[in-house]
Amino acid sequence: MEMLIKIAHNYYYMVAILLFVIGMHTMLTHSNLIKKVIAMNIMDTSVFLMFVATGYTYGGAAPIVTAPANEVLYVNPLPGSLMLTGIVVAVSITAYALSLVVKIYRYYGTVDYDEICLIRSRE
Amino acid sequence: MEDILFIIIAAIFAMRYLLRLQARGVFTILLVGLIGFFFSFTVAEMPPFGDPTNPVFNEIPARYMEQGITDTGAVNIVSSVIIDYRAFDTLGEATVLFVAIAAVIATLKSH
Amino acid sequence: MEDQIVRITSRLVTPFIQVYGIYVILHGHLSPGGGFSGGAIFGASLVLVALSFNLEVGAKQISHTTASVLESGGALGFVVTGLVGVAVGANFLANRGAGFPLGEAGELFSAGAIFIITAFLGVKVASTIVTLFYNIIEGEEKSGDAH
Repeated sequence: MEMLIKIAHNYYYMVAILLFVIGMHTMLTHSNLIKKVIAMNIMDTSVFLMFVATGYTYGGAAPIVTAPANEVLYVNPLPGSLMLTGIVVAVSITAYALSLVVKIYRYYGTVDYDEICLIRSRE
Repeated sequence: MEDILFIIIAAIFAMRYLLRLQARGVFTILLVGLIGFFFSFTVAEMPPFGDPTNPVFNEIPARYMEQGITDTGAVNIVSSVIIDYRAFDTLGEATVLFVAIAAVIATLKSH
Repeated sequence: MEDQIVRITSRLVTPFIQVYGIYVILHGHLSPGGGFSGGAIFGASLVLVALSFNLEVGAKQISHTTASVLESGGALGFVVTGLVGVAVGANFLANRGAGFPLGEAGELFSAGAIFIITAFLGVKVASTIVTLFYNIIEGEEKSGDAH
């Protein structure tokens, strides 16, 4: 019960974990390769949400300094700026994965993993 | 009363979804639920959300917020962090984008 | 695609998206945004043209060689701006130490190297998005014709 109360206080992180679990379930169960790429993006987004949520403060302003820092409470700028790297890497990985899917479609004529396994087993 | 009604309706839909699944699908849901269950332990151990005394708010962001304008001249602290304090990291990001284009062209335009 | 509504709407909206992208790039040190987000907005406007008309019309907006030259030039400009610091005698990618004029905080032309590097990054990210889009959507057709 104590743990449930703690989780209820940290519900932002729970949403991140929910997104991660949804992405993982999609990645495991769906055989469409495009859906697998989208699921990977959902998992990426959950990690970004988790990191950015650690930097939030209640009532904090965006980190654009217009007043001295000890007068106004600002949101932590560090997780947001670190996650920019992650977003760029996610875009790059998505582009490369999509190019591989295009190549697979040209070769097999389908993007469904089960059908690709069938075609490969017949050869 | 409405809450109980909502829970009952949700349970009915969840049961219908579970009954339509194969044994493998049930196993996958159990596996993924187990992973989420163990992750939620970590959430319970994390410091409270939105508290300004969290360990995330150590001396490094404080230094950025206080000295950022005099060091870099930029009002936007995120911009001053990614392009001045940690500019080498951003150069790495530009390299990652470059390598992504190279990989896509090597995959698609080759025989 | 031959949809009149989509074409006219995209033709109306595209200049505003591009101006907004340039605004986000140039105000990267004053407001939320920066080289990556502004470049993504600008690249998305070019992708929108290519999607709502066809690929030939989109390629007229920015040719493939221009996009690749801009993409390499953005990365090169970033490195050269960093090497200014080495030439002066400060660290690589130094801002105030390299003698860039910081200006008054809050003005448009301020923050020295941050302004320059953000502009280079915006150009690079916009051309990266366009190049990735064309390469993926054209697939292997071109290489199939070539050999």
